[in-house]
Amino acid sequence: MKKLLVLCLMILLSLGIKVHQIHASFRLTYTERTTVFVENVRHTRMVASLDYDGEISQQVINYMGTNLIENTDLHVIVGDNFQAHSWGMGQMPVMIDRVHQKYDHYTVIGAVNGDFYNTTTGMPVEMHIRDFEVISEGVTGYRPIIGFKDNGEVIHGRPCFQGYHLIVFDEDGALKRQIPVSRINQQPLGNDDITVYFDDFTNAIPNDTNKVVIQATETKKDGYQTRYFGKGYMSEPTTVSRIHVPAQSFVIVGNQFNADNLITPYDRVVFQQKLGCGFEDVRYGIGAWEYLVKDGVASKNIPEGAGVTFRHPRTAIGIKEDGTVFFVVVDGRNKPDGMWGVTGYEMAEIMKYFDAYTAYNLDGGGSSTFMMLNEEGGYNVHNTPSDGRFRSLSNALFIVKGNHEPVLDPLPYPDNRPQLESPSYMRIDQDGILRFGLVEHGLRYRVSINGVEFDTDYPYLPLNLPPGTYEIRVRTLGDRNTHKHSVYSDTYTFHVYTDELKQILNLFRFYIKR
Amino acid sequence: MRKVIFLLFVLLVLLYGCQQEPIETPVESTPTEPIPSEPTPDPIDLIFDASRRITNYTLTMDIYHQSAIHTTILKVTDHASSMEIDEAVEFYQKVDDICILIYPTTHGYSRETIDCKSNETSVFGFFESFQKSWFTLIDGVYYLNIQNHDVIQAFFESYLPGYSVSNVELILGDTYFARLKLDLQNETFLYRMDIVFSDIGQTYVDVPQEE
Repeated sequence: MKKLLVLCLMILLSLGIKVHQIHASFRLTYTERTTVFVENVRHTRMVASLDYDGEISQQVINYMGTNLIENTDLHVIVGDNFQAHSWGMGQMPVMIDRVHQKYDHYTVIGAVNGDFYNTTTGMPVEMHIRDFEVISEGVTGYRPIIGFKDNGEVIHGRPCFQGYHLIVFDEDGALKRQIPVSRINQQPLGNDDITVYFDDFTNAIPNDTNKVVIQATETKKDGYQTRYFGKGYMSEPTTVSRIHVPAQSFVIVGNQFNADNLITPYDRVVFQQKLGCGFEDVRYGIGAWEYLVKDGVASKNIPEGAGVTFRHPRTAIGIKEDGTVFFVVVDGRNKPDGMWGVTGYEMAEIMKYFDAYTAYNLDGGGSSTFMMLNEEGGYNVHNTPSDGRFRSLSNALFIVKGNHEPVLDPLPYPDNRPQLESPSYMRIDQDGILRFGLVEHGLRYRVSINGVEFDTDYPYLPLNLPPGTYEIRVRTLGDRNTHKHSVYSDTYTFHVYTDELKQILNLFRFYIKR
Repeated sequence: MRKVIFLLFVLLVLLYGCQQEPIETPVESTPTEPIPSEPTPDPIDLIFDASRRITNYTLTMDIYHQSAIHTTILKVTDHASSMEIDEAVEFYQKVDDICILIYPTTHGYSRETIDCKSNETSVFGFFESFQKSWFTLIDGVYYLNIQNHDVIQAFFESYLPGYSVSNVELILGDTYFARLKLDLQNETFLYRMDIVFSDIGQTYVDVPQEE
């Protein structure tokens, strides 16, 4: 009987502990290998024979990488094709286009696919951080995040969540204040409590507390009334009235909230999870799954999932000890063309082959896509997506050239800086030059013409407007350390006349001359 | 029956007896010379005369071009005038035979001496030359006859060569011209002007004072 029990115990132990075989050999023998540099980003393409513990396969491998610490004008960013108030997907060329639309200060050098995602909604499985904004906090609660900081540092692992916060930025992007939010779609419990209602709350918000309606430029919800993101601008004055949440808006509720005019119509208000544990200053971040290389050692124990023991096209991110970040895409599902695909373990060895100190697996299969800038300014796809076409992705990683928007010093609270005067004596002279009075302490001026803003360092702006009617406002911008910018001046309605109309007016000008 | 007939007869006799005969009385007639009456002035002529002589008035001009309307207000007095375009007003003033243009700047107003309008140019005709006989009245509107377009055409053509004036309509008020409409057009464009006369004799031009 004892022997039987011992046998059963041994069987149970052998089932519970999955021991992966430690492979003795890995060899990559390439028959073709080309390397080019595009704006200091290395691209290597290999056609190779992979020998993994005696198992031979044919592979096509694309590598893209750069040292983010040495190349300070190169960055890794995360992009997507999300809609303003829903998730969304997009093929890689669309994603590249979206990056350029959103950020005119970046040029995409290379792109690979990103995180796993819900193929119905496009919601990524894990965290999605875009320009410091935690658009999605992820749904698994355990998968690691890879975050990219402005100094080139790459952080990976699990961040701490410090709860939902309202983050108020002034129009220059300087942080005014961060306010913890206790609950969503519920009334505040105490005088200092702040809550936020989204437009999936269909009842009216009672009338006994201050409310600030934020017209959202973007909202994201997980569909389970659990995870939210929103950002936007105050659309109407603070009210205590009973209101419903307008569509595509969110409402901040608190007993005396905004009695101090903390939020002005110029301010950008972001509602998101606040991150900690080293992730506070991550500008871009994306979810990954799972370690392929850890501390310079290729993983021999990858959790089951994503078919790690099967050959598939795969994409992975690697980080070298010197700060180089690289991406590798291995083609698959196409044996006749020598694209067998790799297992998770083979991918780990490939990442190690490229000197990864740390490497993570990203989404793969038909999602695996690798594109780079070409000499003509267009983009080439260098791998062979296994679907035979571009797959629509949730998000993607891009190596971009350009400078990040600077992070400004936070503003004091309460903000007692004096406010500059708005320009006065606005007029447009006969040469079509907008002129206005110089404002003391003004460093430059922002001119809004029919809502489109232009900055000028001088109290004038040559206008070259076609005939029509224009509503013009001007405000003074100063040294933000000492002064608040002015509000906009009153609207000046300006008509640009046709040459004939100018002549008619000149005729009557002459006619009334004394 | 006989009584009734008799009664009617008596009534007829009585009624006949009550008819008055006209009484002719002799009238002494005195022959008189006919008094020549003063010719009544035509009130329309009066309006034209009065309007031609106005020197203090406001013209509000709406100029329609395509879908846009541009409004300009002209104020004229004996010694100063102003033109308001959009939100800016410029002033013209004559002081001791010196003509001054006063125009808005970023710090208030600037003054600039300019050439005065010469007598020659001051007589070119706009509404000051209008004669009643130039117009045909239809339904309360005076239409300028084609053969009388020359004067107003001359007014515009120095600034708008190639444009012709047409559809000139004049509406009279009780005392002065009230409204003048006209079209300026070439082969491509049409400018429709609607000019309203107001504050005649009561216009005031508030010229900004020198600082």
